[in-house]
Amino acid sequence: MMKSIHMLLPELGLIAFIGTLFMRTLFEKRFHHKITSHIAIIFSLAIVVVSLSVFNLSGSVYNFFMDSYEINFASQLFKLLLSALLFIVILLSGKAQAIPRGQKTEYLIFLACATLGMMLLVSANEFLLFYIALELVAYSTYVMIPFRKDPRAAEASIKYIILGATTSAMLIYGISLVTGIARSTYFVDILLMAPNLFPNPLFMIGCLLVLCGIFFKLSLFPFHFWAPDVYEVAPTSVVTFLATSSKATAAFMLIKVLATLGSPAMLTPILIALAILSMTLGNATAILQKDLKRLFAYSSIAQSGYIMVAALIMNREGNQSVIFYVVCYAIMNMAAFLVIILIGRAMATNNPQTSDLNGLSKRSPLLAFLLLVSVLSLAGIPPLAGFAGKWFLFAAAVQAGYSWLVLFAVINSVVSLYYYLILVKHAYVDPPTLEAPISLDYRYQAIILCILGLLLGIGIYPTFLMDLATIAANSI
Amino acid sequence: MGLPLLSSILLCPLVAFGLILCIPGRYVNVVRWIALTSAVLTLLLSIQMMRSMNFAIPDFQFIENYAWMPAYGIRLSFGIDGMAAVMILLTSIIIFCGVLCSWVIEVRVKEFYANLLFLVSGVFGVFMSTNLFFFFLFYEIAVLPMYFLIAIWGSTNRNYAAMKLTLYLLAGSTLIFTGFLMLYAHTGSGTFELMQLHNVEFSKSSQIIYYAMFFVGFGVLSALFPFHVWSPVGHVAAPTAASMLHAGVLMKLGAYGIIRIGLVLFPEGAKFWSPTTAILAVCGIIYGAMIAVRQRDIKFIIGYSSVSHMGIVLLGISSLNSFGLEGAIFQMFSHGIMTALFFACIGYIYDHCHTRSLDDLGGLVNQAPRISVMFIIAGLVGLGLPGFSGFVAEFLVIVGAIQAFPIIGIISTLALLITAFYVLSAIQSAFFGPVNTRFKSMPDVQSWQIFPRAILIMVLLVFGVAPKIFLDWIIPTSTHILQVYS
Repeated sequence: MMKSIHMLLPELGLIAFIGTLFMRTLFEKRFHHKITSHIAIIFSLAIVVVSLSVFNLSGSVYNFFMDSYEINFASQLFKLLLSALLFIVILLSGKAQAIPRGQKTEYLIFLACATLGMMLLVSANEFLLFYIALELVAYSTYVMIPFRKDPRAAEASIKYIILGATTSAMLIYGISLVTGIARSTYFVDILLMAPNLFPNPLFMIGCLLVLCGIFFKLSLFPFHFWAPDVYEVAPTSVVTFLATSSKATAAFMLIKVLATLGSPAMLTPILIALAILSMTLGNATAILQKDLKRLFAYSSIAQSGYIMVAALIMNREGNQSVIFYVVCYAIMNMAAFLVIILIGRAMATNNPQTSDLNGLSKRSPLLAFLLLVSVLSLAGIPPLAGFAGKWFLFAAAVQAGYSWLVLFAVINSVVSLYYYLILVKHAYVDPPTLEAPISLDYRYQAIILCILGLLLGIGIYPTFLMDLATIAANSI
Repeated sequence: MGLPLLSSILLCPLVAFGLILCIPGRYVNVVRWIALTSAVLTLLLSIQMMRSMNFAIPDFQFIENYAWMPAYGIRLSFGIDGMAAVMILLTSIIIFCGVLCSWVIEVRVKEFYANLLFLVSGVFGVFMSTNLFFFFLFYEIAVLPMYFLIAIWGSTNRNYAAMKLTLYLLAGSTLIFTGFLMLYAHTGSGTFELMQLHNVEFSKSSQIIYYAMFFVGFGVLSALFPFHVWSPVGHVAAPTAASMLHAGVLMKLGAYGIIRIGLVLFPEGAKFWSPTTAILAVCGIIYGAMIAVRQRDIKFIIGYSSVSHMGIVLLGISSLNSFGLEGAIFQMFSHGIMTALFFACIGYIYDHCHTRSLDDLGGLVNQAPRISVMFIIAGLVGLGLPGFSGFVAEFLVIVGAIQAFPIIGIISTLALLITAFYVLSAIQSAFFGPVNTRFKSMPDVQSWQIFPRAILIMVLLVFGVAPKIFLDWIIPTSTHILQVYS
């Protein structure tokens, strides 16, 4: 097994990263703080490269730690995505205003811990490891929220912790029910036993409770209450991390757990109801928001609804469209939050309002274009990635017979277009309130151009990503 | 030609769009000339397409088929028949005249032409696509730039109008989107190709549902009563070239969709809904005309008259007979040119007088006889004066309507009376009568600005005195579509 240990390199790299940062905190006075950000960038870039190198397209499967840890195509795809997102977030945190300078290292440690947890989560093949990894992510993110010395930050983080702890409790109880009845904690065993267990009401309740744990991370109704407050108040780079990595992992775990539990069709009516409520609530409330981060929080609640529409089909087409959409969604959200971060810095505020976007097309055409592309992509307008993603999501749902649900979801998309277009209107139509042009560092310009290229490229020619998603769905 | 014709027609505006985006905004003239060159090229290519097209056969010609995502039924396939060909010709004429009429815009010229060209490439894409995925993709591309065109360069109430238009049109397209996905799932063979969908048998009950979905979904874009409310405010708020495209071409996209997808694929559904759709069409005709009577803003009059004339198109489609369908397609073309002419003239008048109100304007024929005559000609076409194409189109539709629904057909002739009333009274208030001294110094159209408007008048005249030319183009297609209905 020694020769295949190199497949674990991304995780080992992250552990080394955390270790280095921890050493750094012990020698606080000796080194200049700038070295931290350089170390961070180099390490995260190295992890991206390493994830790319272990990205095996051959589809072979490796098992570690007594079969509890599985490395397959889907897990490596997500590790690549997570490491790329971590890299970009670290790059953006360079000048983060909301994080006190002395605590930069701690912030980076928790970011890396959360990413490590997510990487463990996507490879978990066993419920105990699943729970441990989920808790690792949860605790890391609990601590990241209140970095700003702000009473509202404390309030939001308390909400997050309490709701998170509650759903964790539900999760572990659900896991205990499921594994108790199936007599094993391994996913493969539960999958084998599942068809026999369906009529058992205890098993059903267990499944539902396990799913509740995932709904919390996905900010699906009725566990979405934390999202608006947390998004509004936390440092924007933390919110970016939550909105992209955490969401992506949660969506992946949703389809993985649903597949493991034997695709319980009895749960479908509940899932449909949750999807409808999330979409409606998210879109309806987003219309009223003036704070950009709150608006995107509600928009992400609605997007979870769309993901749920395809996830509840619980077949291969649905899963591959969910994976495709999740990758696109991570990129689109990253783009949108990039704009929010840069606007926030230009206006010297942690909470940019929609009126801060006024006249963006004159102040920074590139940033305005990025906003336009990311927001239209979120709304599902061709020829962008979001349109392709929604097309595949809803095509899978219609093929499974949920035409009326899809009609409802598409109407919700049009409603969401309203508040997205308002942002575009502020950027392109309204005259600027502040005339100063926003200049962008070459690093940001490079990232922006990459993201634009990805969103347009995936939208016009989705085949490449769709093939990856198909192989990934097959390996679940 | 070595290069495939349809792809080149599509690529012309797209490449120009790309070029314009790369040029810095201050080189205003370069942007204008690029746009004009691409419009001229597109016009020449469409004329070449009309010349090399064999109109006698109703099948799709100039077929191109490229694999895009074959596993999901998505192929980039183009093909045109007679109806699509005349629509492409219509679009290229209107974009050419639109680019010329927009020469006077000074604000953010680069973004204006970029939006315009992107919109037009979407429209071309819809007319030539035979794969439903790309049909929908281009359809959405044709709608979204209108938001920017109206919100940035528009006039009265532009933010409200832009948002209303975009949301209404995209809400209509949700029905189309779901319908397309349902078609894909229904066929089981996993295809979005129109030519293959022709051969699929749909049960009568599913045809009824599908036809209703597509009729309403496309009808929203066609100003189907009662979903027409986005149209007049959109017309009024949009800048000249955007209005020309919007009323001239965009609204025809809806009727084209109804014919291409509704009539062709779901004959049982069409027959079932035909009385209902005919009644809705007549409501639109009369309602649009009666509201136009009360308007004081000329652009509102034109906007409501567009609703009324599109009602004529929908009535022709609902009649399900040869006169009706031919009249409908003729009306699509004729109304497109006529309304483009309307907006071109009123755009010029607004630029110089800064008012469009009938209360303020008066006696313009004295200071500016040429532009007044052009507007009056447009008005006469609108009320169906023989000698112009409007008469032929309305005549065909009304004969077809009376054949199919005698009472509804006769009621629709009432509309002609109301149209005559509002057109003539508007012309009388704005152009004749006592001279309004405020506009004494209004300059008349000069030579190069007469050119686009004159072209539009020429087209209306040619097809008015020799309608057989046009009918030869579309009769084989319409006969082929109606085969199933006899």
